[in-house]
Amino acid sequence: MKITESIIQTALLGTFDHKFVPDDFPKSLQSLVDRIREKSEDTESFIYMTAASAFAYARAGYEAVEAEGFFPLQTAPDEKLPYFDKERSRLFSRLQDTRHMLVYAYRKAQDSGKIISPEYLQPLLRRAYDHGNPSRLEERHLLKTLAGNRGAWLIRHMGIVTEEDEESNSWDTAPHAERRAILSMLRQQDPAAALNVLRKDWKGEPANHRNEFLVCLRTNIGKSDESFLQEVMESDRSSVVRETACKLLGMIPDSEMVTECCRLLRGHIRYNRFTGWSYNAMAYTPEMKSMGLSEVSSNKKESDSEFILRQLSERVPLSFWSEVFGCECEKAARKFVRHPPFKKFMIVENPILNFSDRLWAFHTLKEDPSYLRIPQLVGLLVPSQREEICWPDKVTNFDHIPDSWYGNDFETWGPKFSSSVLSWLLRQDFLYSAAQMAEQLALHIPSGLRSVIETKAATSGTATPSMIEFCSKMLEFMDLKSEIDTLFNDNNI
Amino acid sequence: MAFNLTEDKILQLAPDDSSVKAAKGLATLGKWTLREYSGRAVWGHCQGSGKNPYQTVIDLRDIAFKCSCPSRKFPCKHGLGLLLLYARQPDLFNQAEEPDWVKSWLTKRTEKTEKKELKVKSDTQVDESAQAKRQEKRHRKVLAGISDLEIWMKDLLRNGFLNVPERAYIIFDNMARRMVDAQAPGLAGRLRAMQEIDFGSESWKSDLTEGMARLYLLVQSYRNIDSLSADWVEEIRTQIGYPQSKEKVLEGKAVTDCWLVLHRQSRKISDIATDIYWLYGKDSGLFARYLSFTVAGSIPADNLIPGCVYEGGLCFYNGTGICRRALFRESVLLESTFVPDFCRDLKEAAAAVRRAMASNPFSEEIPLLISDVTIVRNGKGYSMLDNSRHAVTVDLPEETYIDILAITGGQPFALFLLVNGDRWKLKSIWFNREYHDWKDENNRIYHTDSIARNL
Repeated sequence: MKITESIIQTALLGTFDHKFVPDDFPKSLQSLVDRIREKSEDTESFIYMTAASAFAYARAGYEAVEAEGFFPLQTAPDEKLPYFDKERSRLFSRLQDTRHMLVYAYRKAQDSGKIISPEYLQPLLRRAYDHGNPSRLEERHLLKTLAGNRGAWLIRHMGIVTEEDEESNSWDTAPHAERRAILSMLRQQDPAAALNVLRKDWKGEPANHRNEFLVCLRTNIGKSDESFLQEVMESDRSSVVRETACKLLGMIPDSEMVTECCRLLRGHIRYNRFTGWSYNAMAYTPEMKSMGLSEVSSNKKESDSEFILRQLSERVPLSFWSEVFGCECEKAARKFVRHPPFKKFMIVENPILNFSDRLWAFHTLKEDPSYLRIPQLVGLLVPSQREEICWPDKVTNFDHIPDSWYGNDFETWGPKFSSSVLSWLLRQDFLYSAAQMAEQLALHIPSGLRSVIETKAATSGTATPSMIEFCSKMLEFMDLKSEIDTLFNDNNI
Repeated sequence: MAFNLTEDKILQLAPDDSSVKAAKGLATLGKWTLREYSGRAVWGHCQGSGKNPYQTVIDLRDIAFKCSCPSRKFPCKHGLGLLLLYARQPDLFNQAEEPDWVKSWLTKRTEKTEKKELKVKSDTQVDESAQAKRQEKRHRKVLAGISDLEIWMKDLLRNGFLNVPERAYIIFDNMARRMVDAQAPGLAGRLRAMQEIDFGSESWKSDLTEGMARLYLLVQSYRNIDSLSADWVEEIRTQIGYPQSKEKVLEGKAVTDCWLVLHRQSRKISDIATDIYWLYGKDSGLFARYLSFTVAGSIPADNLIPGCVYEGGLCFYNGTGICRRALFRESVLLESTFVPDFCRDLKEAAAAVRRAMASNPFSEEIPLLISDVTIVRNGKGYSMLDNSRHAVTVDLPEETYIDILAITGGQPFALFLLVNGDRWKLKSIWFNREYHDWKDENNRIYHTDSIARNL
């Protein structure tokens, strides 16, 4: 028992109806307490002075305890790779508050053969394992190399569940949202493996979860997914899931379903350069119903027979139109946008987006740049293709850049497209999420266009707050990007 | 101009985390339309949201900032951003003649310093009899105050401390105000510190009893002040709240040494920012506390940088104990640093704590340097282990623990602690001779409530 215990008890209960009996003190302290008692004018004074002496006595005897039951930590394994210098390591720390710049820097540093200094690791690891971070899976993947052995060792002490732990049980134990993220990530890296993971638990999942998993297969969808999707479309208990599987099958250009659509349509639609389009009516069949086609048009101005043909037309690839027009795909794509069938009703972009056909999108936009109004079409193009299109000078209400335009590779856009995008943006008064857009855009805009933004920034007296923020953030992020490029240039590291 | 501040050290000057973040954002070429330097200063124009750019200047001789922005923070994000940019990329700055706005500020600073020196030098005529009268009047006021305090303390003990937690604020705040009126701010600080005890923790009973006992001991010491030695008279008077004039302290004997800044604690009490710097003398082996007070909106007189070494004469306040408050008579920031002498193990450290307690039982935070220890988890807390298989419980936040593991990889390291009773609070470490410190923002909750008392 501590020598101060009896004093604390008395102090808590009060001296009014509790008597303090100073005993069990060590001899040296007891003699001091006796002297205090002699000199004290009252009980309270005696207790306070005794307490002061006892606490001082206890402190004066302070000793470290024997470390029984404590086990020293196993030290971290040695690193095989050298560390980046402080400037480079610190740069990662500086990028912590950015959304895309950090991933960009990680990617640039990935093949440098160096790792981040350990003192900067903690926040980077926490961020990579933060469930609220949308790019956490990629950051974890990239940090596996950049954090070195110390990073892997540290994660264990931070109580974070790692991929190694997850590999065995994450798919089985993760909640649905996490599983969906894992499936999407896996689908990007290894589509076949993702399909196998999905097959494993398919039947045990509830319908809404099955449907959401199925949607993940859109990424890198191909012929190898057809048998599974066909099986789901034919046998799944849920009509919603069957419908999704049907839609996905329709996205595979060489799937049986798309081939069947081509077969059905063939001979029922013709094109003549002088007379235009001609159609042969087609009866609605149960087969069409199973393919998800409707029998009756909701638009009274459209005949039902043409409606059936139009639905089939929106489900066939460019190769079919090449056959109909009797020319190469490129030419067919141009003719298709110039003279679309079912003119009033045909939605030209539907088959392009359905098959994510880059070539089709490119020739459509090249032929008719007004299709910029369908931003997803632009998203399908690579930067070099975007340079070949005559973009309009003015676009109204262009207050944000669609996510699909950025892509996943941080590829720099060409100067022509970049200038057009900047001019559309800089004409606006208000920009949505100006700071976030600036960060993303800075990763794609060539540095040569900096002067355009500087000029706009210089007129800050007349610009709106949103535009001022956009310009200043653009300049800041462009500087940051150029710093990353300089520091992680192959010759510089 | 040779410039020896690293980015870490510059960021330590920031008043808070948001300033660090903002300064990092401003440390880019695009933000500064003008970037120039001279032999003694660096300055620039930063385009803000207004029409005219902000004019920012930094005195590089003893790191001081001035900016035309309306921010009340000091230093502001522009000052820090400019200094960061200068530290990172000095090539971006052009050498130039100081413009008028820079020149006038630097001149004012020089004049101010000279005036200060003159004031110290000129022995102002003191009316000794009037001063003695004032001292006597204050002494009587303090005695009257402590008589009230004694009665109040005895009443509190008579009724027991058990019901103190639910009305701690009223109990202690009222009496603290009375002590301020009685010109005993030291006693008021101790009362306020008891008011801030964590009454939800297990240790509150012990903390409160010890706090009250010490307060009573201090009161009794003051009553018996005439029978004490000169050092103890000063110590007790300081503890009660009698100020020691700066000029008198600076008149005293200075200890000339290279002073390593072990740690900086920042506090804000009633709009007054207080930085407590813990210093260690290379040759003397002495510890010292250097206090810097800044009223909101004014420029702090000193910005010592943790981990850096300042060469100069340090004048100690009168009193006792191993870590007294001190003032720099003059100081120069050195480019090199050093690693202090450490206790070799926890046994030696415990002995040092005992010695410190014996030298001054009123010591609240005892500085301690120990080498070759590791830290392991111990339930919800942490324990420090040494090579001789001894252990001590240590206070530190989870983030600091993980940072230490990241830096050391689980290997032994040296550290600086502040010991308060049986609470050992980790403040900074050395690993492979490199200094690492944690800012207050990280470990705010671990700082003791006793700072106010030590002021």
